[in-house]
Amino acid sequence: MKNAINKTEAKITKNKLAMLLISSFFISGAALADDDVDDGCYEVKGVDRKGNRIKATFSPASLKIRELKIKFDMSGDASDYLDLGTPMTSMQSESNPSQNKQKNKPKVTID
Amino acid sequence: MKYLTMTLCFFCFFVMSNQTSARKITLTTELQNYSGDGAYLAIYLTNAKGQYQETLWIAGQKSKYYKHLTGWARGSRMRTSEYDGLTGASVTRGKTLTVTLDLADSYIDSGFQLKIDTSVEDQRDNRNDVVVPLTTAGAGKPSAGRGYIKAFTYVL
Repeated sequence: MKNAINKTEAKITKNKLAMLLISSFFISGAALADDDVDDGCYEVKGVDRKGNRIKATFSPASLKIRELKIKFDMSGDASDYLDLGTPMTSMQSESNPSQNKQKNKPKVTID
Repeated sequence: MKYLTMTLCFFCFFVMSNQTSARKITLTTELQNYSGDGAYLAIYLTNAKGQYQETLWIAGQKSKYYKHLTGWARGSRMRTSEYDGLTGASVTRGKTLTVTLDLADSYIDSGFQLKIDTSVEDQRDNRNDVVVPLTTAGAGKPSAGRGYIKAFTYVL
């Protein structure tokens, strides 16, 4: 039963992740395959706006970026990535907080 | 007409089964007035054999200390996917942590247990500080902890 729930949640999260990546400012042509799930984290491969190949790993629920690998071609350098400003997931949550809100996020208080 | 009635019955059953699949649960954990820094807590579910099932909440945000929540760490293998989106601040002495979440009905009255592991910096770690069976009969009844937890109550 837990597996069935996880599969459904994974589908929802993958759709959300795909939307987030497509609307992001530095990844285009991102692809997420079914077998690209490692230790519960989503691994996404794509190219950035300059055509450099990238590989990113995202946390499954918060969609925070955990790892980003960029393979620069001869013309590329790291300067594009060193001044990105606000992280992608934070920007997304500011622009549309309801979209990034988790379905079953617990409500927590400390009194 | 017969088919319409049957379809309506199936639809009602489907709607009702969806509505009863999860239940709101509130977990209230009151800490002792121990001397020391904020406590890390892992609230999780195990089956009757004590095998880890699901993380409900982790109080404490530095993952390097999670290994001190020994029972939970062993069960969950401290995989990020197990606690992603389920972490918050640690809880200082005398404070009360209240967590409200949706829990699958299948966990209730089915032999599952709620467990809490606790840890405080430079002090002893408490595996199974609280262990209570998850039953409707046990809801609302406070349980005393063995370590840093003074009282734990869950309400369904």
